[in-house]
Amino acid sequence: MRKSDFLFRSHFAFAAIVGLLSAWSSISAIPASAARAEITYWFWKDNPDDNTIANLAAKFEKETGIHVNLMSDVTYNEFFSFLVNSIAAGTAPCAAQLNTTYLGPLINAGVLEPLNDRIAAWPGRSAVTPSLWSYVVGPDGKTQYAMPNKFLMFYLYYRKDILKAAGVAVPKTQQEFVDAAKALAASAPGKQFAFNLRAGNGGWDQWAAFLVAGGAKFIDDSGKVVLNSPEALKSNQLYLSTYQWAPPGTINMASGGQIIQELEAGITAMAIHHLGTAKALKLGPDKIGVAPIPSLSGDPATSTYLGTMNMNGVFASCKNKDAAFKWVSYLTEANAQLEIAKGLDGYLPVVDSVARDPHFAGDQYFQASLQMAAHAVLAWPPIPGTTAVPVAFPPALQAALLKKASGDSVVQAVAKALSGRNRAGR
Amino acid sequence: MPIHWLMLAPALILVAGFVLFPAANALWLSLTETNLLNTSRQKFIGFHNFQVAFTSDTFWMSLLNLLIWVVGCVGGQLVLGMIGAILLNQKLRGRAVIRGAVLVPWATASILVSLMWLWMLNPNFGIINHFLQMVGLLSGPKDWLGDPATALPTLILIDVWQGVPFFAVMLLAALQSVPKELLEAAKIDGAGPWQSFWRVTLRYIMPTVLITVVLRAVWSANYFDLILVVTNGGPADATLTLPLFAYQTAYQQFDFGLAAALGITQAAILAVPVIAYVRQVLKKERA
Amino acid sequence: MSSTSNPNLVTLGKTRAPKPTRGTWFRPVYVFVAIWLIGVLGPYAWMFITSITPPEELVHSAARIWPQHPGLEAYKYLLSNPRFIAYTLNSAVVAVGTVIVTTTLALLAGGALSRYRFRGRTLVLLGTLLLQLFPTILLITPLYIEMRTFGLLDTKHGLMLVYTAFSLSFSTWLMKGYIDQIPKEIEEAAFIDGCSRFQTFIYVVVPLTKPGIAAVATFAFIYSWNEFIYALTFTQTLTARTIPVGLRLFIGESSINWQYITAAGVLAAIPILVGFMIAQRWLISGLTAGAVKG
Repeated sequence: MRKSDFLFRSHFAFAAIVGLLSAWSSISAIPASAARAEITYWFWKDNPDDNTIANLAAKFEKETGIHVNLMSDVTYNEFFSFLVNSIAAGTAPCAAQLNTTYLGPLINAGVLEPLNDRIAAWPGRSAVTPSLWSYVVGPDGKTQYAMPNKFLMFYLYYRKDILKAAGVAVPKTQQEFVDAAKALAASAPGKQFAFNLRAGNGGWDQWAAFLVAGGAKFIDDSGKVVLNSPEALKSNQLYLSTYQWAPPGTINMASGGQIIQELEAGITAMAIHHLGTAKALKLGPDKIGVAPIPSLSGDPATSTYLGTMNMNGVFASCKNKDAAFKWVSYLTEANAQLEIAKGLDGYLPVVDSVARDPHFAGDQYFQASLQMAAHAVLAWPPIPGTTAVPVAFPPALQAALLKKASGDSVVQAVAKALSGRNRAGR
Repeated sequence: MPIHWLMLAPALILVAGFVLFPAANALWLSLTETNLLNTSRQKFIGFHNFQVAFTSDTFWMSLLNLLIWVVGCVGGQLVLGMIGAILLNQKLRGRAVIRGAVLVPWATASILVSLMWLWMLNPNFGIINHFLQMVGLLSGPKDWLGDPATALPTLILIDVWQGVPFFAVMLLAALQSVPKELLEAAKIDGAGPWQSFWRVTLRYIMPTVLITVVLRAVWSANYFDLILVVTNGGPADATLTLPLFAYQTAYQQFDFGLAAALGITQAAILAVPVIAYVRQVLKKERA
Repeated sequence: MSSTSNPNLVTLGKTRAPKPTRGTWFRPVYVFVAIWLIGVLGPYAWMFITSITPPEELVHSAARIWPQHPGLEAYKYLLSNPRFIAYTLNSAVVAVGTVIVTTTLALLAGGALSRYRFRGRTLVLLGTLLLQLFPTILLITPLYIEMRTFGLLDTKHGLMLVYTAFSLSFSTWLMKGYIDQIPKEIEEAAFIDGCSRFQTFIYVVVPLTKPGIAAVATFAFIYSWNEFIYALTFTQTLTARTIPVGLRLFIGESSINWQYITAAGVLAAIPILVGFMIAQRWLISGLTAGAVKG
C-alpha cells in the first residue's frame, strides 16, 4: 500500500462522513410534507411540570388536523435572546409566546405579522375583555401584533401573622409602606426584615409597579418618554428608603423564587410579585395575604397598577399563517382559557366569562388581581427602548443603594434606556 | 500531496471552518452597526464601535476587573496547584482515590459550580455564613457577593476552587518527569529540600509552568459563565469583566457590532503575552 | 535527555511513585491532603445533604445540618424524569463523540507537527495557540448562522463538531509535545524494516501514545461535558440539549428547586469521580512527557 493511498482513502472517508451527516440533518430538518399542516410554536414554562399546552395541542390536532410542534425547553431568562437568534438565522418559529417587553424591538424590526383582519373575522373576538386589546397594539395605536393570552397584575404579598405580631396595618399609601417597613424591622432588629428590593436581574418590574402606583407614567400620548416626573422621583425615593430594612442579599437578588422563599421563611414580611408565584406558595391564606400595591392616594379607584400581558404572536416568516392564527386564537377561546388558567402556569384569563368562573372564586390571589385589573392598568410601552431597561436597571439601582449615585439616577437611567440607544453601558 | 499536510488537513479544515471563519466574520461585524433583528439594516461604520468602547467608563472598569480576575484566578491556581502537585507526588496510601477525588471540581459543569456556591454563600440560608458565625468570625449574616469590596474576590475564590485540579495535574506531570539524577546530585551537593525545589525542580519544570499559566490566563480571561450566573456583573459593575460586558452588549442590548469590537479588543490584548510566549518556545526549539 | 533517564515514558501507563525521601514527610503531608480533600469534597457533601432535605426544612438546613425527614424524592424525580435522562444521554453521546474525533485528529495533526519540518509549520503552531484567544461571545452569532447554513443546529453531531474544533488547539499542542518525547530510534528501526513513514506512525508510534491519548481524551471530555454557552445557543429541543443547559430549567421565575439542582450535581459528580480514579494514572503519565516541553 503506497504511503499516501491510506491517507487519501481516510480523507475521502472523512469528507464523505461529514457530507453525509450534513445532508442527513438537512433532510431531517425539512418539515413534513404538506399532506399534514404543521406549525411550530415556542413558549416558556414557569413550571416545567405544567402540561396544559401539550394537552391543548393534542386536542387542537384532533379538531383541526393541524399538528403543532411545541418547543418549551428554553426558560424565560433566555427566551428572548433565543428568539432573536433564531430570527436572525431564519429559523424563527411560526408562532411564539411573547411578553409585553418583547414587543418593541420585534415590531420595530417588522418580524411580527399584523393580525387586524384575522382578528376582526374571528368569532371569539367579543369574548375577550375589551380593555385587554390595548396590550397587543403597537406604537401606532392601531395595529394588532398578537393575540392576548394571559394577564398578570403586580400586587403586594404580606405575612399576615408577622404584620399582626408587629402591630402593623396593611399599608395603603406609599408613605404608610415605608412606615410599615420601619416598624416591621424594629420588631426584631437583625432578624426581621421588611422588603426585598430585588436589585439584581428582574427587579425592574416590581420597581415599576411601585412607581406606577405612585402616579408615574412611561410615555405620554405622543410617545415621548415622561418617566422622569416628580411623582416618579418621589415614589422612587420612598422605594429606595426601605433598603435599610432589606434583608442581606438584596443587592444581587435576581430570583423571584428566592424572594418568595424569604417571605415564606419569615425573613421578609412583604414582597411585590404576581399571580405566577401564588401556585408555588406553600403557606396558606391564613399566613399570606394579598393587597393592592400601596399607591399615591391609597385608593384603588384612583390608582394605576402595572400589568403584563403574555400574548401569542405570529411571525411574518411563517409559511402557514392561517394555521398559526387558528392555533393562537384557539388558545384564547373560552375552553382553552379555562384550562390554561387552571394549570400550574396559569395567570388571569383574558376572556371575561372564564375570569368569573366559580373555580377561581376562592382564590384570593386571583380575585385580588382581578380587582386591580378592573381599575386603571399600565404596561411597559411597546417601544424598542423597553428591551434596554433590563441592562440599565440593575447597575443603576445597585449604584444608588450603595450610595455611589443619587437615588434620582435610577429613574433617569431607566428613562434614558426607554428613550433610545444606551451604547456602551450606563 | 506531502503527507504532513494530509495529516494536518482534517484538523485544519475543522478549525478553519468553525473557528477561523466565524472569527473573520466577527472582525467584519466589529466594523459595522448590526442589530441582529435587522440584519438587512447593517451599516458599515468603520472604527466607530471601537471609539465608543474606548470612551466608555464601563469598558475601562470591565478591563480593570478582567485584569484583577485573571491575575487572581491564575495566581491562586498556580500557588495552590503547585502545593497540590507536590502533595500528590508523595507516596501516599490511597493515592488513586485521592487523586481522583481532588479532580472532581474541574469536571463539574460551571453552572453547577455557580449554583452550588450561590447556595452555600446565601447570606440567610447558606452554610458558609452559618459556619463563620458559629466559630465567631462573623457577627451577623454577610453578603459576600453583594459587597463591592468582596464580590470579585469571592468569585475568584470559587474559580480557584474549580481550577486548582487542572494546575495540580499539569504540574504533577511535570514534577514526575524531573530526572532523579539531578535531584540526587543536588542532595550530594548539600542542598536542602527547599533549595533543591527552587534551584533544581522549579527550573526544570519551568516550561510546563509557563505554558500552563499562559493557557490558563487565556481561558480565565474568556470565562464568564460563573460570573454571569452568580452576580451578572453586579453589584454596580463590581464584578463586570470584559467578556461579560461583551455578552450583555450582544444579548441584552442586541448591539452586535459593539460586542464584536469588545471581543476583538480583548483578543488583541491577550495576543501580546501569547505571541511573546510562542516566540520564546520556538527560539528554544531551534537551539 | 535520553529515554533511559525517564522510566515513565515507554512503559505504558505505569507511573512509578518516587520513593519517599524522608519518613518525617508522612505526617504533615496527610494533614495537608486532608485539608485539601475537605475543601474539595465538602461542597459536594453539603450538596448531597441539601438534595435530601425536604423543601420546608431548607431554610433551617444551615442550622440543623442533617434534616429531620431526609428523603430521596429528588433523586427519584430525576432518575425517572425523561427530560433529565435525555439530557444525560445527549451529554454522554456528545462527549464521547467529541473525544473520539478530537483524539483522532489531534493524533494526526500532532504527529505531523512533531515529526516533520516544513514550511508553514511555525504558522500552524502559532495559529493553534492564537485561536484560543477568541472569546466565545465573539463567535457565537457568526457560528450560529454558519451552523444553520449547514443544518447543524439542534443536532448532537453539530455540537460534537463545534466542541472538537475548539478543543483541537490544546489537544494538538499536547499530542505534539507527547510525540516529541518518543525516541526516533524506534521509528528508525521500523523504517529500516521496510515500513513507510505513515505506516510507522500508525503501527509503531500511535500505540506508544496511549497516555497522551488519555490526556487529550480527558480534556476533550471535560470540555464537552461542561460546556454551557454553545450548548445553550445551538440546541433547542430534547434531541440535543445537554445537562448544563437542562439544569437551568430548574431555576424558574417563581421557584428555585434546590433539591433537584443539588441532586443533579451529585448524580453528575459520581461517574466523574469513578472515571477519574480509574483514568488518573494514564492521564498523569500522558501529561508527564507531553506537557514538559510545552
